[in-house]
Amino acid sequence: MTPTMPPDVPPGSRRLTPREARNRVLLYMAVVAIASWVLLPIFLIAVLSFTPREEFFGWPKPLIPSRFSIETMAFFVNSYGVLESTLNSIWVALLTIAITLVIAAPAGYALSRFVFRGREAFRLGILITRMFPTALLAVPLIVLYYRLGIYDTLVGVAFIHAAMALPFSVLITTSIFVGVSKELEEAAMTLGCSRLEAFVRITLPLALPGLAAAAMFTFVISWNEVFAAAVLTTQNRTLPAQVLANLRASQPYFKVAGGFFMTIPALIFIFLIRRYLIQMWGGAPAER
Amino acid sequence: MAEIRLENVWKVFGKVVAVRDVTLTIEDGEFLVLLGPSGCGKTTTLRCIAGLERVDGGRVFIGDRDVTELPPGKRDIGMVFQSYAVFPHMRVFDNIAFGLKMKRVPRAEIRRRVQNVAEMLGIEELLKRYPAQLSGGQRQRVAVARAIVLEPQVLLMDEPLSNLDALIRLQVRAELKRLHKQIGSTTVYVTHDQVEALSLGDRIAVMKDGEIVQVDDPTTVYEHPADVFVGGFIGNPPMNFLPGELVAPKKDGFLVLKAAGHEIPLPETLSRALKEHVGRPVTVGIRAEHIEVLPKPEGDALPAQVLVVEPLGSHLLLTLDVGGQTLKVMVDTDLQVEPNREVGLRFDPAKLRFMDRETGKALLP
Repeated sequence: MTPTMPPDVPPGSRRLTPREARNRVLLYMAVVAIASWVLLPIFLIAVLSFTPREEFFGWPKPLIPSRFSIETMAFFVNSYGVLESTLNSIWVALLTIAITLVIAAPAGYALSRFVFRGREAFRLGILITRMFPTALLAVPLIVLYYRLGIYDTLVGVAFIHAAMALPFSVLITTSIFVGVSKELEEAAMTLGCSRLEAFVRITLPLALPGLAAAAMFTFVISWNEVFAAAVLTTQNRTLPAQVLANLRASQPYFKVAGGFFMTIPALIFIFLIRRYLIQMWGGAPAER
Repeated sequence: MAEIRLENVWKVFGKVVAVRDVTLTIEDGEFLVLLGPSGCGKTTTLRCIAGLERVDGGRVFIGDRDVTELPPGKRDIGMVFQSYAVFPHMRVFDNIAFGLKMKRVPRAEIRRRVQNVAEMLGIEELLKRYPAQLSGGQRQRVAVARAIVLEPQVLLMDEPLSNLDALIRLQVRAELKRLHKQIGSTTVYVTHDQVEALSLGDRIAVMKDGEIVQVDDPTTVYEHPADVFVGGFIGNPPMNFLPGELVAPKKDGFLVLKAAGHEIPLPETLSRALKEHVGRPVTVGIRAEHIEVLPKPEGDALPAQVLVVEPLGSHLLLTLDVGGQTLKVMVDTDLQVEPNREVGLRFDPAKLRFMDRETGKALLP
């Protein structure tokens, strides 16, 4: 420690000027407002899902239920079609991940490594798929799916989910491959690897955590997507489509439990990959 | 071991010509330094030898083989990158063994050769560590070990010292020189640091704008720069340049150099050699240490005024004004000078270098 510094004052503990103090208060107020906008519904829905049935309809509702009850959740999980559609959702999500990675990883690699004509146009163009609301595309999609014979199939749903996830996935994989130094690959090539071997032995292992994050992100997109899944299936429903179909006819506690049930995977995955998301988007301007 | 031959090599990126018609032969076992400012094409030239860039024209030979169309892995080269490019997900041992594994060398031999190289570079204690646990200097050694364990015919180094601290750099520089003596691979070394080039190279190839300006041993490059650019780029301080003119007095045939408002008679040999350039505007170059400073302007010495005195420890660096021109001069520390003082300058005309003022090219080889 330099002699000019007062000893042992942890950073940030010095007195703030009134202006700084005011700004900090405003900042924290904004943080609390935004966080509660997101967290409050999740909190309420979680509390209600584990509230005993009699308290659920009582008024005023207690903020914390008097006892922990899983009967609401159990009722939802055992409802007709829920288990089946959950399995469908998982299948669709896994298929979506496979399709997305097979396309997004090479695309991201190309965007990160090579300078080619139309590269910037491609980067922008890939976002076009997100320009049209799915509702607008619903009828043409249904017609197309009938013609191709993939209407009401899980593969069909996976295709449309992959189309939705691709723009982001390409963005993510690009930044992952940018993060793996080109010189590492070149070093491998001078040591006897072909370009493909260098990719498999060096780049892929280093990119793997990031690619896993991209896969989880894709999973969440597919798991949560409801509209396309609902219009493109009749029997083989995914979970959100199933819940949506039953929504009008069901009890409030069914809705609450269904809502919470569907939130869980997303919460877990976002929690696991948040480090990568912050890295990717927080650090994006620097590595353009 | 093998010689490297570049024949009329071109490399173009879009509209930028990075390497322009370079022809160069690097002899078997030689340590050649490619030296030049950033963007001069030295790294691109190295990458063309490595096969990391495809040449747009010309051919590359290593030994008797035309390697122009071969991928890097088939050229029998070892390369050390500026960032070291040590694989972060492998232990030091696996980093060094990587090339041997690719060549399917038996495991026992891999262990023996990695051990040997590690000892040669003093990193045998680090073999089980991951690169993240190493210092910059240690990583650099791993990168060198990985390149030389294959016993390549050609060793290529791209500014391998530029990411090291100044102190370690001095140490590693000497080690690299010793290592080259020991393994004897033909070595091409890219740097923008002229001190590194002078201290390491058997020969130095100075590049500018994608072309090789001069290839010579370090002393020649330093003492007889091929043009104004080389003289100004190499040496610290750079060579002094003064505009001048060569005139022939009426009778005796000896030439006189007119520069900085003075006339300097030239000796016989120089006069004869420069005869055909009489009347032409020239640029005269002289190194800072080749000028003698007298405490007083006396006799035939050129009068000059001291502008700045910079003590550099072993020497004094003076900035002088001579007839409106600025000169940098190195003198011994025992000379008593202070700013604004009038001093006299004397120099050996044999140390003067004459360049064409328009082209900048040296008039004498």
